[in-house]
Amino acid sequence: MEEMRSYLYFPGCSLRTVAKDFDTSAKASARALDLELREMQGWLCCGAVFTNLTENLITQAGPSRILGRAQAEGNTLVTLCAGCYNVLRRSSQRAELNRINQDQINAFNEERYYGGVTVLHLLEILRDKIGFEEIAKAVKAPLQGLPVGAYYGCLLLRPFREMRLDDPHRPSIIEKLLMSLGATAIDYPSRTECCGSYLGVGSSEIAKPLSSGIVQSARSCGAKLLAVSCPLCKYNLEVCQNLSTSADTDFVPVVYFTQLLGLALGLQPEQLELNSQQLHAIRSCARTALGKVSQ
Amino acid sequence: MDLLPHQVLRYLQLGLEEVFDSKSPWLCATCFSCETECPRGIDVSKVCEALRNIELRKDSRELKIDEFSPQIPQQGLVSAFRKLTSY
Repeated sequence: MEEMRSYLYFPGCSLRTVAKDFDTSAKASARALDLELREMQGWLCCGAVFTNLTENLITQAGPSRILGRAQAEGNTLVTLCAGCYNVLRRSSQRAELNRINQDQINAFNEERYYGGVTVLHLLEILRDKIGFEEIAKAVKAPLQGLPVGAYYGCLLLRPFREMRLDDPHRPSIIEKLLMSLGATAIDYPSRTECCGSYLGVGSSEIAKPLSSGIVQSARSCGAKLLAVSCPLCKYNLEVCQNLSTSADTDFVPVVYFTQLLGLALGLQPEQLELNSQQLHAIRSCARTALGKVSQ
Repeated sequence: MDLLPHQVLRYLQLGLEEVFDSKSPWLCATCFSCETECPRGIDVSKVCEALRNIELRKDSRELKIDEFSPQIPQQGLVSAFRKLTSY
């Protein structure tokens, strides 16, 4: 591989608190691929959800300010959290298309941003800038025999006309990454269904059937682990299992795709903040080198 | 959902105010699935957000959290308060 490539990076609030493992494992794995994720200066909350209200401009002030600040440092901004990715990618496009609204937002922010920052997900960097074949060559500890269900959820893929990451009905980007790491990608019906998102915050009654359905779907197709790219999806998929009364053997641990990437690249589980439950699931399935590197 | 997405739209076409008694717009998690599938290209999540906002601008609403867990990601809290409460 060539010299270290550097990308401007937006972590977002969850990655600084409950999802530190996502941030840590992504940075460590990127480094193993000669890729630097350089945190942008002065980032703030993206607003977590992209507003559908076209006349309530105040909700667009935050993302616009982030993008304006990012532009001072570069034209590409990389995100990890599916929520931030959705908000920032769509906000950047909206800023470019709707100049009249953007004039008002800029006046409020006392900053100037009219689009131009391309917001990319780390998955896009891995696929388009490095390539899964190159990643496969860099794998030191293949996850042979590990059946992983990729869970996409909503925000990575939809709305398609703005996100365009992958096919909204039959995505394959995470599966292709998993296969390049030597793992077995499990195809299951619910991988693009909604986990309940923020509805799980107020009342678990509403989100639980949705997220339980996803876990059951993955489990019945043979997945022993779920790989996600969103802290909120991870939370919902874990909480629904903690609330259920079924035996421990049924528990399907949820990891961030970056943790599996790092493991396959030969990093230690501690560097990736994998917990004992996740490691147990990985060790009990993965047949090869993994046992050696992770001891 | 007491009204399915296509029924919500039919109520709106017919101008039936009873649509505001429905819980469906409050159960929409803005996952854009309907929009992706809709053969008529209707942005159902946008319609649901509009319906919620008409209500939110009339009366203030609070979000009741059953049991607060410190494990809830910040993005979840911010989203829930932004989508489901008056601000």
